[in-house]
Amino acid sequence: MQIWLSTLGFGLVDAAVLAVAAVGFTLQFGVTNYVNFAYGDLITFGAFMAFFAGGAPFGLPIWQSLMVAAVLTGALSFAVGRFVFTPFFQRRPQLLFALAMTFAASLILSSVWGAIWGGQYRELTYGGEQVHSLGPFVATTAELLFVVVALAALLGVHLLLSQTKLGRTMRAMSDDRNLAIACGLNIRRTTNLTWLITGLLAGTAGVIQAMQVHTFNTNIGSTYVFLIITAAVLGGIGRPYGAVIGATIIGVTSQLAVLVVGAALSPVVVFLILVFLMVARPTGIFGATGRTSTFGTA
Amino acid sequence: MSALEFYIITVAIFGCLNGILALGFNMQFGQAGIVNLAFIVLVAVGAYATGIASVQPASGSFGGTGTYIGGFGWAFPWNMLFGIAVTVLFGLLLGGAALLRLRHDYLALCLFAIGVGLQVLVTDYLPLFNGSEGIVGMSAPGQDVLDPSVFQFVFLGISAAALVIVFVIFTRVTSSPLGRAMKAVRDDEEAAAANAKNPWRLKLTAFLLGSFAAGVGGSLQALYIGGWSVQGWSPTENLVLLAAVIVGGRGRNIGALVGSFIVLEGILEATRFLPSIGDPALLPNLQTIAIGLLVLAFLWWRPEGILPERKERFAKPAAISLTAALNGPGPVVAGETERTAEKL
Repeated sequence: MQIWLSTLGFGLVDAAVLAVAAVGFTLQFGVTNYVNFAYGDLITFGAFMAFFAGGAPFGLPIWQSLMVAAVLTGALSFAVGRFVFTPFFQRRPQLLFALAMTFAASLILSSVWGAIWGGQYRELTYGGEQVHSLGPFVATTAELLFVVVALAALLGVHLLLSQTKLGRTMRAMSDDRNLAIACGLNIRRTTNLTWLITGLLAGTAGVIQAMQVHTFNTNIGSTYVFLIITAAVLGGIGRPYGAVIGATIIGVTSQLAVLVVGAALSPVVVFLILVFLMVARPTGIFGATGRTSTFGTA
Repeated sequence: MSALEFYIITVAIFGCLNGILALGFNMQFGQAGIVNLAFIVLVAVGAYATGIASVQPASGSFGGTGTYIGGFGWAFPWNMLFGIAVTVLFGLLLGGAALLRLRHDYLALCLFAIGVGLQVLVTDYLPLFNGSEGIVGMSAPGQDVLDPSVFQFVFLGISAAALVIVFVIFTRVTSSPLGRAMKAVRDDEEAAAANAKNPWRLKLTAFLLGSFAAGVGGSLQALYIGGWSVQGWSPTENLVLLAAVIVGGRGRNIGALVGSFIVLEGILEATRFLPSIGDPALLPNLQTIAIGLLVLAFLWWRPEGILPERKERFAKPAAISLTAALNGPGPVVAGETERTAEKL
């Protein structure tokens, strides 16, 4: 029983990190209305930025590395969104082209990372190996801090969406883009800021995920994207709060699955969730938003 | 046979095999509008299935180092037929599940995620296909007995024959009412459904035809290389196919072949002779960047590709007179419909 409870605890830590990544992915999809396959490469970028910020010439402490990495990833996301994706989408709004474009952009970015940083593994740790027991759960100091950072990021998104004009505009665009345009909302500015914010989230998630797995290489984002997409689809794509629930389910399930089927086979469980969703409930638990809400039903 | 001749034939073989894959991808992406960015997974299924059908059981020939399922030790063509059959079956399951209710972004997203997930699974779970080491030790027909230079020609013949067969089948399909119905579903699913076309069945048919080509191409690749591992089906390989179809022209078989030739020979082979500098992994990365930029450039300036899809032209049916209708089908005057069409 104890092992199940402590595994549940690890699952919740995973879920917190995954939630940050999935919220960023789903928020961007909701606002811009097309899938960004390059999201995983932003995560990789974030992890590497933290590694270099904490490394030799700079030697920043981990908190500052995290912030630097998040800001740089946000800047990259903004640049890619503002100067590549948005002009492309305006010129070729067909969905087929948008998908092909972000897929090509994703592989360009990941190859750039590969060309610069090679394939070798790097190490990013916070230390904080001291183990605490919190009721039935056990967690290291580092893991508790990961959860705190993730929850802070999620709280920030919640406040943004519920309290600010920008957040309301983002939700309006996500629900009905045409209506938002007709209401005279500032679509362009909101889209640009969405790229920035989702980049911040991707960077944050990338740094924490890198510290979670300790060693990582340029593949960290492109494999993590599997869990991110499943969590986002599970919660209903375009729904940030749904993504948090989806991430919780995926994070906990994949950790508990390790106990049942072993680490190597735990992707299968996530996989089965995805296939079940595809066949039975394509719009996720809470239903998708905007344009995609009608896509699930044939 | 000189080294240059040997090299040229090798390039020609890969040209044929990549052409088969590009035709398959075009059938799904160009013809039926299914954005399947996990197409390469189907190729991998064909390659792995052929691999495990060809080699001896895992504990046997390699000192017991590898772990994988199967190991039937079948000869050509049974191993290849097994590979194709498994791929089509896998395509039926995957396509049947994915196309049932998903469309557009959702479909693309879920298929992409499935591709990434399978890659993670196969890498981590060694008992399936020996992880990232992959399966080695398949041999192409005649490879063990023939002189290498003769074998090159034999395998080129097999590859070219396979390409021709796939091309002929696909051209028959795309020029048939079935192919036009697929394009109708691609262009406007609701309108096609309103005209009594079953979108799910049409898209699944295209998906299965694509799976068939993936099975043929993947199987032959595994046999020729003599091994297959996770590196062989990374998303980069899918970008090569996407580039082929975008550059050549979506929805046209000949376009997919032309695009495949341009991408493969123009970028992948032409850059092979550049002096290598630094990291050996640098060149593949630069190639991927070049192909990605090529896709973006074509999407920006010429999204219809070098050989754009042609608008279908139909002859206007000749007016049916009452007497002709009463007398039943009479002898058709050859060329009448063409002339009518010209007049219009």
